[in-house]
Amino acid sequence: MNKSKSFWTQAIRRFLRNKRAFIALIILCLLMLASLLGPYFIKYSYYAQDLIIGATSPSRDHLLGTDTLGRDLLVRIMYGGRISILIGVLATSVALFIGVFYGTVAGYIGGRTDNVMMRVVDMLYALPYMFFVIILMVVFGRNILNLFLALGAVEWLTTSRITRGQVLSLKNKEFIEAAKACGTKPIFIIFRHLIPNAISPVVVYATLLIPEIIIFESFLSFLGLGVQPPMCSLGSLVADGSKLMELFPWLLIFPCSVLTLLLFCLNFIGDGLRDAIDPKMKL
Amino acid sequence: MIKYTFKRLLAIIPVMLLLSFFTFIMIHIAPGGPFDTERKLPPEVMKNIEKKYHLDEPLLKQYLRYVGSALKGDLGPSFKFPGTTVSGIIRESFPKTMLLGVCSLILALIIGVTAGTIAAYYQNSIKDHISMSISMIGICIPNFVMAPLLVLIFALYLNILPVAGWGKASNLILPIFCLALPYAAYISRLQRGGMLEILRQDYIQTARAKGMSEKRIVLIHAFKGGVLPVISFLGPALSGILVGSLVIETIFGIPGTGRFLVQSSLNRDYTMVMGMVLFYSIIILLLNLLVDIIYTFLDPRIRYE
Repeated sequence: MNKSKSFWTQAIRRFLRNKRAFIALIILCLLMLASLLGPYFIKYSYYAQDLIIGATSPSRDHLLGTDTLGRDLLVRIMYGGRISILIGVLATSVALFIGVFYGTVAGYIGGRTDNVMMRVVDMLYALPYMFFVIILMVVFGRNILNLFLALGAVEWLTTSRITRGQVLSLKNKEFIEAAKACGTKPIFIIFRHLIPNAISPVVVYATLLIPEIIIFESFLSFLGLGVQPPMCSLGSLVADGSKLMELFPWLLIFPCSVLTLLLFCLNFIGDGLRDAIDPKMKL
Repeated sequence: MIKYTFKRLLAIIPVMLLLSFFTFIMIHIAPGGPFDTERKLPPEVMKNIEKKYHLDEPLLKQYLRYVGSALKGDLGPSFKFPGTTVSGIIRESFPKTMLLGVCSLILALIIGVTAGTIAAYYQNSIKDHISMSISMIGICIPNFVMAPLLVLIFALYLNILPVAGWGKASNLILPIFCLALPYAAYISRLQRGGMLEILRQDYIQTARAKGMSEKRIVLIHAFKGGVLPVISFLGPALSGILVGSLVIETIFGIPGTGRFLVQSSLNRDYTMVMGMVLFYSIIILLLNLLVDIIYTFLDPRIRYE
């Protein structure tokens, strides 16, 4: 236990020394804080319309302007940020949960089971899973819960491959043999010994998966299949803005910049974590 | 090799069967049907329509009927666009999507491989940092963000390229660029990583020691090994580009296949959805197979039994 703790403290120290990743982490925290707490400091709500003023450019009343229905863009971006981050984190958790479990079972049991389970993953890899998310969203209704379940359900493949690889290399190590010799139950070996030791590349992959899922979600919202109005996500704001960009460019530019900033931060953090935990890792 | 190809081709059959079955069931249990309209049709009319399209039969029977005709190459009529067949729509629109996709992939390859090779050769120099920063931008900015921004700049403010449309070569520039950029970025990272690993190998040292020209070492010996990760990424890249064109086609008003997929699943246009999913899946499965085969030619270390 002591040993593994020092591994993580070392990793954290290495991570904090990486300036780019550290700055990205700070900006990300600020973005999250702003989107969580920001709406409480603004007197407008994300759905309150003001049809009299309509779309206005940024002014003192509305810092980032308003959309065609007179809704304050700043608040809407904050809510959009909330949704995007929420879906990113939740869908990644779903993907991790399925992937780690699947990969561990396949790697631990090995042999024929492993072969079949991984063939299935290979097969799924080859399919255009975006279509399935689209169909899933159409079939089960377009709401947030379904959105992150659907996204999580298609994004677990790589996690399972990484975990399996780790488990395969770990399961013949002495400490697992020792645990087996002591008569530890397989389920306990998996959860107590295998997963904690196999987790570090999975963590790195997860931080890089979050931005990917945010892009994916925005993509769906852009097509009108994600979050439904009056709720908004960054993707749906970009979509709305792109329809009106000739007249009201700020409706496009602000959501785009926030989304891009968010993705930049997450990617830099992911890269930083990779370098901190395992510089040799290829992701 | 031939045996391997044959085996892989055989493996496509069960995948397609399972896939078509799941899609069929899912799309049919979705609430709503293709003939739901604002004003309800009289029940007799509805019954006749359902009878015409065999929608009144049990699902399994419908599915078997569908598979039977699909095997003969008939994907059925579109429910929402009267007078058209799914095969006809695909035949007309897919070449456009494919043109867009292939051009984007080629552009992504050219940019990505060049940038990655330069970055790897001049590791940690300013060239490396610049190309890797640009690649970070490419990875971080999704194409549906890039596309409207570029339209705003090049079409609306600078007025050099058309906003949207199809038919002229200038219409292709922005969509191809938007589709290619994220993949170019990813490819440049892969190429850089692959090259770096090769450049450290002993045989590169040997080549240098024997006085081989630097150009030849990098462009022939290191390049050959370094490009392998890129080749194995080609399959996923092309399928990603084909899917990504859903959005790009919507933004630029390109009459390709992508738009039909979203629209038809919202419309519950059963035959269209099935046709699209099956068609895209088979294309992607075949492309992946092709990439795997190319891979064996490039990397003699890999042998499929």
